[in-house]
Amino acid sequence: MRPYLGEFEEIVLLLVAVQHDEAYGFSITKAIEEKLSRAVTMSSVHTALYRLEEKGLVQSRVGGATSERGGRSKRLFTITAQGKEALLEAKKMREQIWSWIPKTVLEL
Amino acid sequence: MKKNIHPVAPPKLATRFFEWYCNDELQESIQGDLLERFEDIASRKGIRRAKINYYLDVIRLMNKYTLRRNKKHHRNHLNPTDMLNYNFLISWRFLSKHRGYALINIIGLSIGLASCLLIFLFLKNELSFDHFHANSENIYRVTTQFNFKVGNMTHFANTPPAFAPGIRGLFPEVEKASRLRYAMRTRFGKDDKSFYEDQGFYADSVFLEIFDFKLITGDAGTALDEPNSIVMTEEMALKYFDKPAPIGETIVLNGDQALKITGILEPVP
Repeated sequence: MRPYLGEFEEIVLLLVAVQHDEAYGFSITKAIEEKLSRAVTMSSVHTALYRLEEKGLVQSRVGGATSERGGRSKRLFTITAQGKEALLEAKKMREQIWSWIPKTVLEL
Repeated sequence: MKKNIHPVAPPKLATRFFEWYCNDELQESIQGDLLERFEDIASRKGIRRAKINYYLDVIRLMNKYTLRRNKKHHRNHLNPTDMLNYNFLISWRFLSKHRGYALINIIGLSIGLASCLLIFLFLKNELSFDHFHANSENIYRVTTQFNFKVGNMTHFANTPPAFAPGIRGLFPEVEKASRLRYAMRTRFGKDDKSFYEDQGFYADSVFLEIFDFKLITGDAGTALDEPNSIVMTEEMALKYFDKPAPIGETIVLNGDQALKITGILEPVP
């Protein structure tokens, strides 16, 4: 069965794709707050990331330690082929639904 | 390079708590993220907000992904169920390795067990009838068969009142027939004594000839011949009359029907 992709999970997954090979918990939190102006806690981002990893939509590796952040290494996330497929699927579904909306409804 | 270049550090208590619950695999990377987040918020919104946020993040991060999973191996091996688990595992492996034999064994055992249960149920049913009646072989109860729908049938212990006299006229094989009606919660009274009794029956005159309920006093053949006669146990007689054999005296049923006592039953088995 195709794993179900929640709305928040979808956003996190999209941002993992955007920050290709540079995505980690804090950077995604920051992006959601600044670019999407949406209040978010970092813990929920982390949980979403681990859940996505469990579903096989992202994979993670431990990046090299830097002098920032107390010398601690980052866990960097990249999207997997399955993740891309899930994103495309979600997008396709949305476009499909959009195309069903009568034109008059969207006129402002 | 100086190790501690941060002017303000995140709350130590939260950090220690986090280190305590988080598994080693994720600990380092999350701690790095937490620290970055802390500094980011501290620079924008102040240390106070950053600290609160740090606490909240640490608490909210407690979930199945971050908690230590390998506690089982840290535990000292005093768990008595470990061995049981292994035994189950080994049996399961053995059974799946020898499917044919397992199947035969299981089916054989189930059939054996089922037969034993059926035999037991049959015997229990057979032994559940009263055997102290001399004629127990020839006593039958007639039931009413109800057919509700096709294939939906049940037996009721009740039959119409005219059935017992009727069956004797129709079938010569039937020597004697007695009706029996359970008298639920009837009130007996004698002078100022009044009790509810739950174990009485209305019966035909031949009842005591069919069933061998022995009488201490009175004649089983004639005790119930007259209407409004009653036989009772000694225990009940003592309760109402303070004497063991009040033959010929009357007891009042439900406040308005006088019954004549014609016999005293031996204690019913």
